[in-house]
Amino acid sequence: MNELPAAENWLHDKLANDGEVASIVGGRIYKYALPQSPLYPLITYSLASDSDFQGLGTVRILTRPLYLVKVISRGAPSSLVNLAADLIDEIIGKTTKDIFISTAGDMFAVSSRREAAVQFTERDPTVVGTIYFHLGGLYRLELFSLGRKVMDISDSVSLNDSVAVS
Amino acid sequence: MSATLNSRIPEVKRRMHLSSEVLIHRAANRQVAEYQQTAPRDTGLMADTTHTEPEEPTGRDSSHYRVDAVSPQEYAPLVEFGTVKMEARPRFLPAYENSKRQLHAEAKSVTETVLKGGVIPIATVGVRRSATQAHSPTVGAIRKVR
Repeated sequence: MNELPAAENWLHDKLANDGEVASIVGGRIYKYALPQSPLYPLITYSLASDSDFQGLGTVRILTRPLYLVKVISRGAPSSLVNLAADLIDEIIGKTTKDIFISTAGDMFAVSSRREAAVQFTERDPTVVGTIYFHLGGLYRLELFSLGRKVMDISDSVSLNDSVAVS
Repeated sequence: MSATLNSRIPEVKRRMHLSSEVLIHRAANRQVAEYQQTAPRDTGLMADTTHTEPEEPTGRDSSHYRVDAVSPQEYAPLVEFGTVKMEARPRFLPAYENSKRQLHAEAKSVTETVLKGGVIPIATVGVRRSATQAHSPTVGAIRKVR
């Protein structure tokens, strides 16, 4: 099993389901690449590094992906953008234990904390004076499988018997 | 009858400090070498100018010893962390993490060696800066730019 797609879904849902984050960036939470001509501010996340913690034999105890999660604003960041970065840190950076289920039905526990803050500006070479401000952090997720699988059994029984009384 | 006890602790301490400096040097060199091999290349300037900046080794107290791995081009963070037009292509952080993991394993084995009175691995410090560029990578980078 590969834990990363499940981790990314968890990351996305965690941010998207927060009301305050949604009020600042709307649904603009993107994985890896941005769409053409997006609206700002927005949140983007991408895998920066990954390592496994192995047990004996073939046992994989933990996966420890490092994700870059940041808010990007056009121009200097407003207080709302700073708030969004704070919220990312509150939501992703202080998760002690969450349980989530991957699309394949595997159950995982995840904890997360920030390893470093990230902040830099980017100049747009095509439009003079336009800058983009990146603010966020590198978040270390620790994922381990709970060894349980959730199965959706779609069977159903239809009871359409009727008794005719004459 | 009399007996004299000679403590080996100061000698072990000195060797451990020296070993730590050697290992940290080696780890930083390894990170730079991996980065130079895996970093995205256009002109190669970003990868080729990446280097280590060590503190002067003291051989006495390595509790705060530091070797920086530096990628000096101003666009290096943009490549590593991405821009609005280009997705992140992280190579520096994975190289750092790989090197750190190996450092932990080496530190364990070196500690065991030193405690048993073994010899510290000095020979490999600063031998080369890149696995692909055995000689003078900086000069090569300058030539490329010109």
